[in-house]
Amino acid sequence: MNLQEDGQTEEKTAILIVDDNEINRMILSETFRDQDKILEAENGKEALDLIRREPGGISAILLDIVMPEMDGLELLEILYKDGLTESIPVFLITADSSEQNTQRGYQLGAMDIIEKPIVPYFVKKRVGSVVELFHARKRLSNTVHKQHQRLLAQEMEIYELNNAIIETLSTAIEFRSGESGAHVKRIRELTGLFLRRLMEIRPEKYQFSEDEIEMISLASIMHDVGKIAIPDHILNKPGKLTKEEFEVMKQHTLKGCDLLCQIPKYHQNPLYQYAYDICRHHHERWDGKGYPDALKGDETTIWSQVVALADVYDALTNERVYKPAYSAEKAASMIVGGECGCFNPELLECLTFILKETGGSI
Amino acid sequence: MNVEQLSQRTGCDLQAALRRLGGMETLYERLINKFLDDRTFEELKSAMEAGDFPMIETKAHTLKGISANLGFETLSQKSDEIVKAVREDHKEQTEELFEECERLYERIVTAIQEAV
Repeated sequence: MNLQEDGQTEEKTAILIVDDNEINRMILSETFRDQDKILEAENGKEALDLIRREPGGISAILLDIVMPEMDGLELLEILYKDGLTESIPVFLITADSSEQNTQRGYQLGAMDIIEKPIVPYFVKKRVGSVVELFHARKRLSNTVHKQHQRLLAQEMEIYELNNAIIETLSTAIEFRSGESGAHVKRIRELTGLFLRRLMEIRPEKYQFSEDEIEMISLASIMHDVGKIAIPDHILNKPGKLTKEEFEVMKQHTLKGCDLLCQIPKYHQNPLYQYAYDICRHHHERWDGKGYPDALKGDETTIWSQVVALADVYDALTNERVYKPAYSAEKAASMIVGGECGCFNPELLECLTFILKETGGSI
Repeated sequence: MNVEQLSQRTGCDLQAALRRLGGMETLYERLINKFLDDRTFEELKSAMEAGDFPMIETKAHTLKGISANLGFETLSQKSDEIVKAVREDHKEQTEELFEECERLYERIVTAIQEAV
């Protein structure tokens, strides 16, 4: 029984005959001799040794029940517990087909119970068809496994591509307002950092899986995509904005949301839902004096709050047209002092802690 | 080997056994000869003498199997009776049953030896 249809090589496997009586073994080995290799064992223990040595090399086991040292059902039970009856078909061949033994045999995973006297032609057929079935199953499972691996690899590729596209686009948009790819990366890192810190200080309130943290961090870099709709002269005005100009600027939150809504399948994808939320609410304030929705306190989702803080912190610690880069300590004290927006005390706690831990080098 | 003759001498329908083996006379002959070397009956006898009932049951069971495979129906049936006697706890019957078994066994062995 040597099937090689899909380019997979299969070694010639053997039929294992287990019976303590030579005559019985002879009849069975004669039956299969022309097609298969034959292995013989006189009792369960011998058989077990042979099986353990090379489980992949056995295509079927023909097992007598009554044997010294270890009888057929004992052996079968061991094979069953090891899960081997799933990959090697076992046939009980016995003169004792009491209902008890038959039931037990089937319970322990035997494929068939064949009664003595043996009719070689029938045994060959019965064993043959089951062995063929097992081979086919094995080939199928190999194929499925390979396909699964391929799918996983493809999934990974798509994920990474997705990542790259989002990063590139966000950077391009930020570029207009004088920001760089580094800014985008920093916001992403800071978001992750804050989320993890929150989980540490308030585990009962904040729980995020690794996947969620990754996703939120990725979403965070899209927080200013709305700026693409803001005219240059306002976006890059070196001085202070007038009231009207500021109103236009504030629009970038809503414009960002509009943009994200254009993406097909937006509603199904958690990434874009986070991005939408962050886009819209990264300028809300803890005291409710933010925009566009004047959300107060915990009304703003924690991730939008985090991005808001990350954005401010990053702006303070980097050079701008109108200011130099401030040190981490100065930035932190300005934020905690309420000079640059109003934030959740828990987040301020995170900020202080992170600074302490990293020695001011985020 | 004349299967017809052997059938008559042993009192068993050996043609049926030969048919089961797909008519392979040479194989059947080999198996029949192997039967002469088989120790199961001797082991059963020892077990009877020792009064070792678990062993009696095992050996009688094995004898049942190989006789059935070779077509020695009479011997197979008698062996089965011994097995049942032990299992159903009619141990007193085993003596008589074994004597009958021995007669059948010897008849078969003699017939084979003469046919060779």
